[in-house]
Amino acid sequence: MRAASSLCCLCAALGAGCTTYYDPCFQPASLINDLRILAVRADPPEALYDPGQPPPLVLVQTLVVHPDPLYPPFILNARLCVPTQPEGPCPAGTPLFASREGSQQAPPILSIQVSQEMLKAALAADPLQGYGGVRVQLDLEVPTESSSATATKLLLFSPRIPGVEPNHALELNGVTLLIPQTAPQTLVPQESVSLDVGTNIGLLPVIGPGAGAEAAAEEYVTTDLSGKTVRLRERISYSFFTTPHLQYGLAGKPVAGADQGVEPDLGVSPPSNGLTQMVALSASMGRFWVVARDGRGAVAWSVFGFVNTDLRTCANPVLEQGPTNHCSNLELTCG
Amino acid sequence: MLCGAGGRHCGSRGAGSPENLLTRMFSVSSLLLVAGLLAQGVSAQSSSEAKPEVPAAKSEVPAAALPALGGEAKIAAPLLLRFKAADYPGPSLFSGREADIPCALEIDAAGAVTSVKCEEGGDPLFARLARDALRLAQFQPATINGKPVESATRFTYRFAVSRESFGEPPPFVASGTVQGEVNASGTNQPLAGADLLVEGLGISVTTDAKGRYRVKLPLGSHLLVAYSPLFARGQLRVEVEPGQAEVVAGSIYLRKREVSNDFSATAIAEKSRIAPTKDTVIHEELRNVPGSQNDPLRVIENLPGLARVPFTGGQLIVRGAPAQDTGAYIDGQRIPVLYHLLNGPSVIGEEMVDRIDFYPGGAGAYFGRSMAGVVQIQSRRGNSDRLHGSLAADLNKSAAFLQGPIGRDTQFAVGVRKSYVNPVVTLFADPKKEITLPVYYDYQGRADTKLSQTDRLSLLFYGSNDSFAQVGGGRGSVPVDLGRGIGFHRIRFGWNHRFSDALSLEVAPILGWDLSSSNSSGAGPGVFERPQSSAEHTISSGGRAELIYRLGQGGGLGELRAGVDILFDRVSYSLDQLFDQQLRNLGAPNAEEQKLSGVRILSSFGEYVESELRFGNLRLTPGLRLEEMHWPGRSYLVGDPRIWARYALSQATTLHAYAGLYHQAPTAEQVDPTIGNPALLPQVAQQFGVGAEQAFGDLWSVKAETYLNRRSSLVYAAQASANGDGTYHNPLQANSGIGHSIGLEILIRRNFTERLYGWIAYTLSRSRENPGSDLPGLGRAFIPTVYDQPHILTFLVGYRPSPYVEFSTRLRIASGNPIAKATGATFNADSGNYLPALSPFGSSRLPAFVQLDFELNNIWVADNYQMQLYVDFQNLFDRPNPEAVLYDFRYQSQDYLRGVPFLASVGIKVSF
Repeated sequence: MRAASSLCCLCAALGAGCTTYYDPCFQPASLINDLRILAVRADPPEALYDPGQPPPLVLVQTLVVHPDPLYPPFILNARLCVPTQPEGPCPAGTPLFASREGSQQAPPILSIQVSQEMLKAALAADPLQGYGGVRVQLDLEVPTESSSATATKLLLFSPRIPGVEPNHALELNGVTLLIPQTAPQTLVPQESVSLDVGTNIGLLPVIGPGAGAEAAAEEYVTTDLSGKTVRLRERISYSFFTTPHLQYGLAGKPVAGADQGVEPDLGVSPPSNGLTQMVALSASMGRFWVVARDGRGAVAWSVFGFVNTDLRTCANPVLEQGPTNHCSNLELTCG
Repeated sequence: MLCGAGGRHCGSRGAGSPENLLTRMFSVSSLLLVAGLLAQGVSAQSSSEAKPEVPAAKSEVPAAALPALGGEAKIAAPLLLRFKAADYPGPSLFSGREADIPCALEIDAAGAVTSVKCEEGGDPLFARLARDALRLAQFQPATINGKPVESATRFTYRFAVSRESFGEPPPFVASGTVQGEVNASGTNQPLAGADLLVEGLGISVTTDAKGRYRVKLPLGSHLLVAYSPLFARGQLRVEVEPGQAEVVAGSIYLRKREVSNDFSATAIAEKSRIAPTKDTVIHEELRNVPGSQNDPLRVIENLPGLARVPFTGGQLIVRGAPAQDTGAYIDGQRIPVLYHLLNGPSVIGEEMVDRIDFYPGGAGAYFGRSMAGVVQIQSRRGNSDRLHGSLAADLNKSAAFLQGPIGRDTQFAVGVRKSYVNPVVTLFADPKKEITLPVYYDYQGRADTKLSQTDRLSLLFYGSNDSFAQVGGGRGSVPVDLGRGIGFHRIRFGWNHRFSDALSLEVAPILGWDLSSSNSSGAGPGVFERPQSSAEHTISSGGRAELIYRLGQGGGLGELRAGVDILFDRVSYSLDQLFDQQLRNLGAPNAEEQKLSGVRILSSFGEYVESELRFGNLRLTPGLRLEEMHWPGRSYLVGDPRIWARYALSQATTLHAYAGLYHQAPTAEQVDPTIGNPALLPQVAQQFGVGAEQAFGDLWSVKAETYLNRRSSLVYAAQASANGDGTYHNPLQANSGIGHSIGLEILIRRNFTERLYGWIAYTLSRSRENPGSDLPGLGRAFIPTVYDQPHILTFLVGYRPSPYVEFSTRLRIASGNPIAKATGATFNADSGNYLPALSPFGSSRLPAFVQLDFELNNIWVADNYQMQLYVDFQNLFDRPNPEAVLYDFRYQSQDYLRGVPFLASVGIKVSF
């Protein structure tokens, strides 16, 4: 039995080490560490056209970001095509529609005039024959030396029908920071905030209606999956991004999904700790972005600055020591 | 050591001290006194107690003691009153030695032994033991005309190791009746038919069906020695005191000494009355398969026809068909899940399992509502001899089990099992890594009673519940749906009535309750704050009834069977989830919170007839099952004709073939009017198979079968389309799919009659489906099913150096599952997500799966309990078997979700 007991202990120890299944180590989507396109805005989000007439002009803005604020100007290429099935980029060989130069500070704005032929082709290829509008696919590309940042967006054109309201734009007017033991502080776009390292801060985006809209989250009529006509209200969703040294989710325990949020229902108070939380990880500075989508094509975004200060005075240093103050390092790494 | 003419093997030790290892045995052929004289013409009349025919002894009465000749002298032989048996010398027992020791015995007029002389010959030890034992004997003295006289006798004191060595027992004065039992050490199971010898006296009795014996003995100390095939001898010394009419002796425990076919797992290609391709695993064969962690139902994973599933699964993928196409039953009652979640054990404790029947195809008309395979678990009736039980524990769970009789005609068995968060994992887990662990319980109970010679009642109840617990939590971890739970509870009554030897009826009403719930609302920040909950309760009722008529004597000509199989499901559900509610949205689903609740009644009435006919070497079993399926607004009647045949070419070679039609209703979700399509039709499968079996002697056999399973009316998601008049058709689900599985299964098996055993199972198969509609990424082409694994090889070998120690190892090699590889991705600016560009599904596969497991079992046996320790090592070489491809958010980096790493587990079980 002694031998068996020893074996038991060995196996218990082995078992403990082996029950942690593999944990892949990928960068979170919210962390900006190279050139990316985060959002594309079309104004108007649903363009009305009169049959037989050329579709109206659509202005397209692209949120192109890089962790280096001094990243040099870039070229934005645009292509138009009939929506692909399954979803994907325009077919190879699709001609360039437009090409503009821009920078992070002065993003390129495309003015897009879709032809009647393109609209007809899109309608013909649509299995729902234009139900909910005709869609034209816009592909965007920012080429770089190593790779390119790409994005696709569907431009929506609907026939003008009296009494039917199109989808309108929405605006992101700022973000309210819920800092413990401090009054809520609302940042306006481009504004910076000073953050204490290790302090969890709640976020409440501030949205407003776009031009022509009565509310940021509009009501609309549609057909549900079973074929019934239903009246719904838009649900605004948020995506949060940041340059390094800031993370979404609680300190020490970032969780997938913490870089996304959803606007509460009308009349429902938002959570007291915000739609999500963020925490400064180390003394540094950078930017964070909030992107709002209404689920029907309208998009808005804002960028904010942050300056992190590490004011922690940690009496009991832990194994992983920070560079200056013997506090634990909040920058989680893989492995 | 050879034990008797029968050639059976006798044991070499009993439980306890080393002295007890020695089983003592000898016999006195006879103690007849005076018969020799009478045989030489002395005019005397023997008393009724005398045994004049026994030839092995020769006795004399001294001349001085004889009365005058010619009179009517009445001579009585001395009778044994008190006896103390000698011990058999241990080393001689081990070597199997027997010895006949001739001894001369003088007995005085008081019956005391005054002189013993034994011929030493070549065995002085035996002679001394015989002499010492006989000196202590006490006799009723010989008498002549009623007057005690001195006497002398010669006899042979026989040390024997076989019952057959005995002649007639000597005459003695019975003083008391000794009764007791002979049981197997450790399991305490009664040993019926065991031989019990009374040492020295040459008396032998046999135990009855409950292992009991009764034997009349004279006064004194007696050594009872018990024998049973495959067991070492056991012994017990009993004292018969004056005035003791009844002596209750303790149990004699025999320890298993021969390796036999228990404590192991096997797949017996047994041809049953239900299907020709059934593989049966019986209770005694359900343990010790490496990787199974002593779970009997895991054993079937090693049989041909069953695809390997990831550790997270636990589904039964039979011949490539989706898991929901295979039915799992306990005593004919369907259960929703067979295994606990996340690589957990089966939902029924191993003690309650009597037999597992696995039908990869060609199941008979008894089974319906499944298009692919069937797994039928036969529960075990409680023991009728006495109370038995067990307690078991390992790092993840504990279990208790109790069974026994209630009165003469009723037996019960109850078991319960509960898991917990592995304390070692909690202690050593990396706090940055999140570990999700299953937490579950299950219970089972069964009672059987015999009402009369023709009627039996049974009650079976069981249930299971699963939920999750989480340990740790780290970088990028996803909040787990800790609110998820799945459980079921079942109760089944059974009445079995035998009208005659040929006709019997079984009626079994059933009740059940299933619960499936999920709640991740507020499980985390951001989107995980959103409502996401669902609950589904199903109350099942119904029953089975089957009438069996046996043709010919004992069913020798076949059987006719007819039955009904009724099921009513009342499904109530409530959902609070984000649903894509629009027929169309702009690039991204505008998921809205949807609260749904409702009640659906789904029912199915199955009626079947089946006959098994025997024509010489041919067994033919045609059958027909009719099924009326009902769901809201729809009713369908389907007919499933099935036939199989089996032909014995010789004793060693048989051929079989089968064909059949199988229908399966869509699920409740698929016919839901809100999220499904009530107009769906039942799905259909046509199954065909041809096979052969060849035995090579007693040890080896080979079974091969090739099969085709054609499926149609498969339910697939359907796309909306415009009708052209401004209206839209959106069925959500349609019977558009078709599919097929084709393959060859081979099982090469070495029987479990020796120390070495094992099998090789190989499956060659292809399973493909065609959605039948232009689904994104699928098109109209045939694509492999998710678990299409062309090659599956399982090699299993075990070695048992003794009945209580076993080493076994298992090697599994399987083709990787088909996948669609991401070749790039585009950021969808409307949804905010990256959309991957995927290669066609099945154009590439995961790397092959290779895993070696090892298990060690050891059992320590005491008289009336035993302790079993198992150590199970999974993935001995820590091979990182990929189970899925993982990508980062923009499909630039990829990694594999790995399977079970090197995993060790240890468990202990005490049973009595």
